[in-house]
Amino acid sequence: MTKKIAISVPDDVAERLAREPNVSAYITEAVRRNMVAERVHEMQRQAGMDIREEKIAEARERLVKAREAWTPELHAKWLALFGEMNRVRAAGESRA
Amino acid sequence: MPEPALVLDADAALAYARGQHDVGFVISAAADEKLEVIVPALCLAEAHRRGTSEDVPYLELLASLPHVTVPGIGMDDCLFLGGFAKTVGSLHLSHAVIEAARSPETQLITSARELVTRILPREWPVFDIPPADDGE
Repeated sequence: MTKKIAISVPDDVAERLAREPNVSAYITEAVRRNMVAERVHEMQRQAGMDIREEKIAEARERLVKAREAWTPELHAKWLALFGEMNRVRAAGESRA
Repeated sequence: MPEPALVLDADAALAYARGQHDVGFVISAAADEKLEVIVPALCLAEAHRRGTSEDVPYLELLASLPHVTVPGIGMDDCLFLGGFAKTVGSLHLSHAVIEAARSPETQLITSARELVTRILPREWPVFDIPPADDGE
């Protein structure tokens, strides 16, 4: 079931949404992703785990910094490994 | 192609269960960053093998979080699982390597950087944690 609602958004968000063919689906997906994060925090809090926001913020910075390690050179090395694994898989399938 | 993700090895899963080495914060941060967390089935099984009864509820919690998936091993992976295990020393760590290699921009939390980078490129982003204190 769906419900029609009216919302107000900042100009930059409105400009981005104007490029979406299905704004409802786009917003639904974004909200659902936020709901997953909320659910994760809630499940951990209920289990008595430490969910201090400042420590989570530090961890977010670590994740973002680690993403920066993905240089074009590392992408190329990954692609070579991935390609080799796929080649071996395909060879196995052709033998079967 | 799968989306970038965060892969936990067995020691990382145990660290989560024990509230150690900030792994729990990284799992929370991954949810905020819309990043899938992957706990390979063999790593989760190894964590259960080495864990105590006190670890069980937290390992089950980890596996049940909505952004966590626990992939198993398919027939196509067996060749790599066994082959990589010869290099990294265990089937569970081999499974972590296979899952990490599925997608670019995937990050790995492991106590075995030296071993996993015998397969993965040396520059692979790894969050280092100490080996779990369970006598192994």
